[in-house]
Amino acid sequence: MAPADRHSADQWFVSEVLPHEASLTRYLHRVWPDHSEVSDLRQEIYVRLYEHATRSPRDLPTSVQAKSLMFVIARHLMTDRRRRERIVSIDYTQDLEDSNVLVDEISPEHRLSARQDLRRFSDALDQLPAHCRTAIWLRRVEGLTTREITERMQVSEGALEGYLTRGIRALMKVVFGGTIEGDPREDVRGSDHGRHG
Amino acid sequence: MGATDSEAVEEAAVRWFIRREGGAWTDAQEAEFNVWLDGATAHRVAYLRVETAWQQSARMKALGAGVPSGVIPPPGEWGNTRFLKKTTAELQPAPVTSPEDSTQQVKFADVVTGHESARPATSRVSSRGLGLRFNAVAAGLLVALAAGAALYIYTSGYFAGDRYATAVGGLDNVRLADGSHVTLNTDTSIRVRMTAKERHIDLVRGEAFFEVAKDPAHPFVVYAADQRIVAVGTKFAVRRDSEDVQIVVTEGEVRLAGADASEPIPVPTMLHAGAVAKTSRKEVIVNQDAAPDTQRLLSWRVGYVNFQDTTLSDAVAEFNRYNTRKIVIADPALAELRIGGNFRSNNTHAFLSLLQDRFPVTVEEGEDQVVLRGR
Repeated sequence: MAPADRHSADQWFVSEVLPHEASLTRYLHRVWPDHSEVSDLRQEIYVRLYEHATRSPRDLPTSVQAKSLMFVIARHLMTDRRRRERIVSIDYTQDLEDSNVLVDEISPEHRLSARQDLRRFSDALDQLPAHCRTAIWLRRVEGLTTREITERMQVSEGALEGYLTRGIRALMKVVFGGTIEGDPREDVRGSDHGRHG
Repeated sequence: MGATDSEAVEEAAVRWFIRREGGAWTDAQEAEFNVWLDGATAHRVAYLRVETAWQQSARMKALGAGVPSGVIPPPGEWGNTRFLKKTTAELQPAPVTSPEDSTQQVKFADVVTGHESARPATSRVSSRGLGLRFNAVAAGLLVALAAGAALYIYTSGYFAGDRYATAVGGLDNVRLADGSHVTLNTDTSIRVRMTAKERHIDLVRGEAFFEVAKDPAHPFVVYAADQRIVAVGTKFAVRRDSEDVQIVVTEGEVRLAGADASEPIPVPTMLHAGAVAKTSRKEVIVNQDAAPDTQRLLSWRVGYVNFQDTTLSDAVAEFNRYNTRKIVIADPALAELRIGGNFRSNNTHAFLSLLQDRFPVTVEEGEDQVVLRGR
């Protein structure tokens, strides 16, 4: 792919697909019994979606198409996996059909106020071990370079990388939300058929 | 349990990101990075997620407001940041309509006035490109939120630009990633996009004062109604009332041009320090020697409104910008009374007292409004 096309594909992915991650993750949690597999499922969905969409980089799917495609790919992927795992259960098939209805209904993504968003970041920070919290603070709030932070914290670059890795992954959870049972942002809609992970 | 494949990929992406954005990065390292990135679509997608999350976390800078450098507030202390101590009314977020709504309208409900306005999101930034390599201009989208009540408004388009707004009676200062400072007056909304060509600011409503950091490669351009105001390194204010635009320059120079590309190229107007220009549907009136007026027109920056031989109806209109309880003139005869003085913009009490003392005016204070009648 030409670099310019590659750039527009990446930009497309960020602006048309990633905003729906929370919605996709909630859906996967609702429909796939093994929650520990959700992350892998999502990765696979993204890979298939990205590759499908970028077959014609001048003609990338619209916002509407991207979201539908994402859920179509999700359903196909899960159906494939279930067949491979030979799970025979009428309930599961039924669930998949029901959840089609839920997915096609566009759930409004409630935007939090700036204050609430800030609180989520702050809470995530507070839950990190002290070194991670310090490292993220110095990097994200104060904007120091790696070198400056290692000097300030008197740690090696390797150690710092570890702290920052953990911190950034926590921030990613805040940004992408997604479902964590009990998460007040969870869009509780439709029945879960009593299946909690 | 060992990490799943996606978790391992995510961790690798995060580590690449940390190293790549850490400060010292060579071409050889970049080449290694590209080998990893191109090695699998999963790698690319994972890296895009990390970049996106990082950019969205820029608002965390607000946690540092009022905190001295080097000090890290202990856990649970976030409530003590200046950000939260401000008491101006908060804009309440409303549900974003689905992407199926092709105009991608984002509705804001001003909780205090109950006024709802739909602001269409304009087209996404495409010229910047996702440039996986962060550079100073690209980082312009990570706009730092300085302390206070200018709320960072999170829209559904990750790269549709950053918006800042104040509520009625609000006043705040924001530092942009290029080093520029913007002071937002009451009931103001701006949108900031740093593109490869320019620093693009839309003044959607209200009034803002800009202190522009020098960057000759990227003109700082404020779009207001049908005007385009171009600056390189200056200080100036722009006020928009629907289609009327007022520009006050206090330092340096700005160029005023029409924003309508289809019109024959008009001669742009250069405005120097001390100039005040008013435009109204392509008509432009410029006073290049308005230095005494500029301070008066910018007194809002320190929380004051200043009147000099101003009609009562104009003065009332000005106060009403800053207060949700509006003043209404019931007797048309009063409208032409002339007044002068310096008032705190949110202290209508002093203004109303003055009116009652010095003029044939009675003031009826109600819950929702204040009515002025002739005596």
